[in-house]
Amino acid sequence: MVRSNALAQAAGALSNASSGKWELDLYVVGATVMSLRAIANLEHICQQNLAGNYRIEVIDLDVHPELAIEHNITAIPTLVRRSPGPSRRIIGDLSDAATVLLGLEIIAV
Amino acid sequence: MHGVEKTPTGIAGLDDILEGGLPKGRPTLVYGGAGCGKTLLSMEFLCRGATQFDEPGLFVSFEERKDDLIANVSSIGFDLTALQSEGKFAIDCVRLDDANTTESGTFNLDGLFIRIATLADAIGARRIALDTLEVLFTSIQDPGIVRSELRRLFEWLKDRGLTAIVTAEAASREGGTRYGIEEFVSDCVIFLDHRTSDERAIRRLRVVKYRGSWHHADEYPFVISFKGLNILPVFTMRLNHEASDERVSTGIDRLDHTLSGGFFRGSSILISGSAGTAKTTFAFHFVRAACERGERTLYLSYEESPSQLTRNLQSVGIDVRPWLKTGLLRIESLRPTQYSLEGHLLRMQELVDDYQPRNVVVDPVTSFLRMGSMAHTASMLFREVDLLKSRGITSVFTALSQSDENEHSEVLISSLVDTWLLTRLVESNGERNRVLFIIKSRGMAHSNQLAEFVISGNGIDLLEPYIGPSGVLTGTARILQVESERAAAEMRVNRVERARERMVRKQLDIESQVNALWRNFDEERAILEESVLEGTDALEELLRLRELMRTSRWSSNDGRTDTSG
Repeated sequence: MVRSNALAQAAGALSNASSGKWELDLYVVGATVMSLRAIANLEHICQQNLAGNYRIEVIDLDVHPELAIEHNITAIPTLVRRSPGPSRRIIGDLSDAATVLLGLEIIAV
Repeated sequence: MHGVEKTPTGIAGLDDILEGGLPKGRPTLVYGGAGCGKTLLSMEFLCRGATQFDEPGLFVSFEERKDDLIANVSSIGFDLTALQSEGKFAIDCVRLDDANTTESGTFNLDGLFIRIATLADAIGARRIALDTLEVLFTSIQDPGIVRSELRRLFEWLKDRGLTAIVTAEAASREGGTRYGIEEFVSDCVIFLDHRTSDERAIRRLRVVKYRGSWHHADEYPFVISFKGLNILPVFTMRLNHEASDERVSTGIDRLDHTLSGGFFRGSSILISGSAGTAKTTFAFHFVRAACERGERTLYLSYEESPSQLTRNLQSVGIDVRPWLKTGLLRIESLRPTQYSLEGHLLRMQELVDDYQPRNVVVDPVTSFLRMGSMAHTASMLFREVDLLKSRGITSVFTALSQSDENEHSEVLISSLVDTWLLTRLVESNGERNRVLFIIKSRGMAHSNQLAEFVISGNGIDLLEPYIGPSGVLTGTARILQVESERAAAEMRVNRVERARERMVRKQLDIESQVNALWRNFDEERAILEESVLEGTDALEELLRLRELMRTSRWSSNDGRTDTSG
């Protein structure tokens, strides 16, 4: 419960735009240090680079384990770019902003 | 100390080699090169668990697509879709598409753990297969993370008490796995090999390691058929066949008598001989006797078709058609090249399982010589003999002896059989006779080596032993006796012949002398008749010559006297 609350707080604090070009799903398992670090890193990167034009959804596989199978999630955390364009994935706590920007094709190589 | 607790795989032959099965609740590593059968082995382990042992299984695939797996497994006789809907089986395909994936910072494999746990819980899995886990090494850049996560995974599997098979690629032949997966699996390691020899694929299985348990360390050939894997043990592990005292008829009265009652039930018999020495006919006498006793008999023919055999047997007074009709006799004609050697052994095993015969005939075993090396063929024949013996089946093998090579095979197989009959053509008195040698007969007092036999419209009959001037002769002595009598007769013939020739020469001699005298006389008479005209003195001379002729005719005494004058 504590973990869920921590996660909910972290997710709720996200400054999501009502609509946006960028739709990002972040898969985590519980409110671990790694999960919270990934959420914080992602929020920071998006604020810096996407300027309100994004929406982040945090999915806790502890709560919805069937989604791990449905969406083929192996590594935790996994960030999935659902939009724009074809799906892209980044695994890890997103501590390296440059690889995240490259991986999401926010900036070109 | 008790051995480890085991989980039977249900795979034919494998549990024998593993002395019961895989270590229960522990992971086993199965590794080998591409196409070695590791995926099918792990699938069969799960399917048999689900169907035979009430142990639901989860298959986690890192390489193949679900549809492909379902299709592949249906080829060994399991319906994954049905098993899934019955809740006995679950499948998860983990796709690691690294092309679309970037790594940024640290991570773990909790997603994989959650998937496995979710599906395992849903079906109450007792077994799990991970195929091929080491794909993680190629899709994840940091091998340190993969190693630590795999260690965690194996601990987790053990904690949950899942009996697991983990597959891996072989680095090189017998050189361990490519990513050192064996480091995580310390309980049981199985190596699968798939190689080609003489253009024939040979699959082999070897238990490299089995902690806390005795196991069989040899390499075992195996085949993959529509019934799954079948591992062929060298022997039925222990030589504990029940030796029977019961006798079964050879189908030939006098041979039964010679063998003090017939073959032993459940023993193996070799009938060898050159072409045309009635090996098949001998075998069918045994078959006839078996069918008359009402025993199911399986005849494996590698040279002739059932119709050929049926027709040929009628000429020796054996009609097998009624038994074929009632199913008491089954003749299977197989081409030697139809299967690999292991395939033939498997086919025999299948036929025996299916038909449950009490007697089996293999005619001729020497057809297998075309199939592989001597050692390979011999090991297959050993297994065949052993398979039949272990089931108490009385078996007759025929062997064609022709070349040196075949002689070897005769010797090889003869060491495994209990009774060895050898048929030969023996020439004597200008005719070719068939003789039967009883070369060996374990555990019975068989009356010595040789008997002559004849084949007629009533089949084979052994002849009375030869009785010569020095008593009953059998075996080599009989041949020697026949031979010496033949020589003596020949010598007598020669003496008479030479005497006749001498007489003829003498007669020709005399006749030529007589002719010479006649010619002499004719010449002189001509001269005299001329001189008669010249004077009476000549007449005197003629009379004198006539007198001379008469004397000579009388002395030659050749019966030509009356033609003169």
